[in-house]
Amino acid sequence: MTAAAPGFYTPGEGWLYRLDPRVKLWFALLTIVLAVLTARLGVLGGLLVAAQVVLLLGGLPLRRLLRMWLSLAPLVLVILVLQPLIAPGEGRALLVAGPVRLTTTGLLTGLRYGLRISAAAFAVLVPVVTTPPNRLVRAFQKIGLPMAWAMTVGLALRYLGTIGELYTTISEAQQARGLDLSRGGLVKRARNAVPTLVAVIVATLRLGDSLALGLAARGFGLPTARRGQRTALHDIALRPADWLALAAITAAFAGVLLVWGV
Amino acid sequence: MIRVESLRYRYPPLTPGGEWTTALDNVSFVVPRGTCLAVTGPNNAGKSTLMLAVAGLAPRLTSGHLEGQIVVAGHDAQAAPPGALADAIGLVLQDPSGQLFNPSVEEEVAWGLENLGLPPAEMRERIAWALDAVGLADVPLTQPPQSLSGGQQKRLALAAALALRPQILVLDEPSGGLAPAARAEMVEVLADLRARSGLTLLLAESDPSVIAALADEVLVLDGGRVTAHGSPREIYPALSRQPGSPVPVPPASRFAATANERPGLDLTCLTAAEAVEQAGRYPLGECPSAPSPAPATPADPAAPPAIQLEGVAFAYDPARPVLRGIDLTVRPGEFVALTGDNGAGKTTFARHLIGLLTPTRGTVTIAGLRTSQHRIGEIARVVGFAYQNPELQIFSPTVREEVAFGPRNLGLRGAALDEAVEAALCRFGLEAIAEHPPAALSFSDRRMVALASIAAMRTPILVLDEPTVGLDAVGQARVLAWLAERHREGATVLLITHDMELAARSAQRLLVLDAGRIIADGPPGEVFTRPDVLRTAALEPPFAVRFATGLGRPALAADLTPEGAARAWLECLL
Repeated sequence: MTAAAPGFYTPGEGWLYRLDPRVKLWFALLTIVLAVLTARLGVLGGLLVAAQVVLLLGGLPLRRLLRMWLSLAPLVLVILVLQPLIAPGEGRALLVAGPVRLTTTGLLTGLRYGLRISAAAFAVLVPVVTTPPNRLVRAFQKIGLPMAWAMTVGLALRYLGTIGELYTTISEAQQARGLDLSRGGLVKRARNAVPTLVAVIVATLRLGDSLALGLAARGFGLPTARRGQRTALHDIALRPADWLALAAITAAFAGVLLVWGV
Repeated sequence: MIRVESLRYRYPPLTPGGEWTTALDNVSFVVPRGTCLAVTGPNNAGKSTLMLAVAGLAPRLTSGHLEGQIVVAGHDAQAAPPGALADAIGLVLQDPSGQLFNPSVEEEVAWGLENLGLPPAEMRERIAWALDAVGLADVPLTQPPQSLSGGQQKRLALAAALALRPQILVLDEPSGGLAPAARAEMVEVLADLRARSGLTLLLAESDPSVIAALADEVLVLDGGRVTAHGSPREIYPALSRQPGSPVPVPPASRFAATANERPGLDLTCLTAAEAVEQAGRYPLGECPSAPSPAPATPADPAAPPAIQLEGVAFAYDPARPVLRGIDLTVRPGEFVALTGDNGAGKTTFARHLIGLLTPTRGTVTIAGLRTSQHRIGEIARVVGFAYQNPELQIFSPTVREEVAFGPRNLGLRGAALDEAVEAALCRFGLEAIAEHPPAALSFSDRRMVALASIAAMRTPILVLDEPTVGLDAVGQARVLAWLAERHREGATVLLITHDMELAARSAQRLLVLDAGRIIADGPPGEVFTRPDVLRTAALEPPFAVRFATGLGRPALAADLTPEGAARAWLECLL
């Protein structure tokens, strides 16, 4: 028996949770834009730190933040290691070993890409982990995204956790039919992962089919919904505090641009 | 009202170069306003396709080709975009998981109302009304739907459809997979809705007791064709006179069919209560003493146990233990049935027997292997394990490869492997679809594939979690024949089921689990006579027991089958 699938949303109480989701989306958007525009390591580092501070002060448990780092770590490490090796760039070599050339430029580029990806990822996680999917869907809708798109994003966020669980379930089912993963080592595990992944994809497609029927049966195709006259039981609204946060975020980003440029 | 005329439905081939299959062939019927029509029939008869087509979702959101006409509440169901008629035709699907996609009970019911564009105040009114109508008024509005029991989830899906105030409700297997207590609640809710709001109901339903309680008319589909149409009282006596019919019939009808073989008798009962009432009109003499039940082959007490649990406790969350101290010894060659209400811990218990879970306290030993010290892959060499949900245990590209997966892991190769696979395919009637992708098959076919995959391993111990749910009479008979054969060959069988007719027919020993403890353990006939156990675990004893108890002659239930009860009753008629 599995409890409610976790998805990305982590329930909590802090002020970040009470903030209108549009404010959080605005923060994520500005961070991403700035992270893409700037090449300054200081600004990139600052953006990453800012996202961490916002999440922690906003009420996200530290353990959850560490888990997020753990999931992101492999990607960041690969960038940090591979970028300097693949594109060493110009400049004096710090180390030469056969075709491998390590330069300061290469290392700095790797660091820049690593910081950029992490800052953007955590900026996106700010709205995603602190907003229930339904409120996020409502926010997208209010921003003007068509309902079908908004719902797709919401469902994807909600079911990603379920899809992760499917992998475990299917792998268990294979073991329950005598597959002994401990024998044969890494190669056997890797070879076995392929059919398991295929099975997960098939199961996901089936889930998608069943959801499509479920959504339609509950009036996703009703004329009111198609014309964008959908209402919300718990609507979102920008309160004075939200406007204040919106202004503060905009001012902070404008300030960074003015002081440091891109 | 619903009017279906000359409906034909075909599905495209599953394999390249294959043929189109006809799911529905020239189906016509009318469901007058405020009445209830139940569509029943064997697996793959086209019931679900019919439900989706009437609701206007097939073939738009599925695949296939439709001909004919469907008019629902004055609308051409096929002309509107999918879901555009959701406020006129409510649809509740078989599997609640695809229908419950919101974080709380309240938002689940609200979702459809938001599509209607209703103001929040009206939504709150309708949510309260719908939850009350399905008996969920006491559930906290903020509770996540996934944390509800199976029966509650189905009723929540029903509430979400009802909140849109449809004139017509289409339900695909409303009682499917529910334990007797949850099924009775569902029937009560639907009967009450009909009485109060004049709703028109169309159900696809396999359980004859649900049909007998709700339907004005029954339509029997077989191979996509209508083979019978009439009131339950006309249909079931006729069906129960056809031996080998794949359509499930109420046990009371089977009782009546056997009893009516005596000239002059004409019983028409559909329920145990009616059987007691009708049979009670005939005076009874002395009953010949009931033959004592055939002694179970005594298990060798010296043999090492096949399954042994000592002080087993388990909790996902320490505050809410699921298993609380289970001691159990099953000897090799025993056929044991385990039952209990939804949420009693049956599935958690089963998962311990193959090491998918290990106890938080106590030990589980399977054929000498302590599960906490062995990997699942090793335990699987002695235990064949069937999941409650076959979806979760199928992962291969073809049926044949799926069935071969287990025996190959056990080391079978070449001719020995082929032979094991062929035998299993044949036993479960899967030869014709051996090269099909299992993912594209119907639920019942996937269930058969999952069971064949376990059968091919020929393990000495079998643990099966609700293996007959969703199967028609022919499918159930196949599963039972397989189990009986393995049992004769000396295999140990542990069958988890809430179908007491099934437990009575097959098992020598019945365990009743309630709130994580075993509260009864004995021959089925004995357990069924303990009212305290039946009440606590919300069990419905088999028809024979209810009939015999109702007549005040418990001995009539000796062999626990409706036919046996009829023969015993005839013997004591004056």
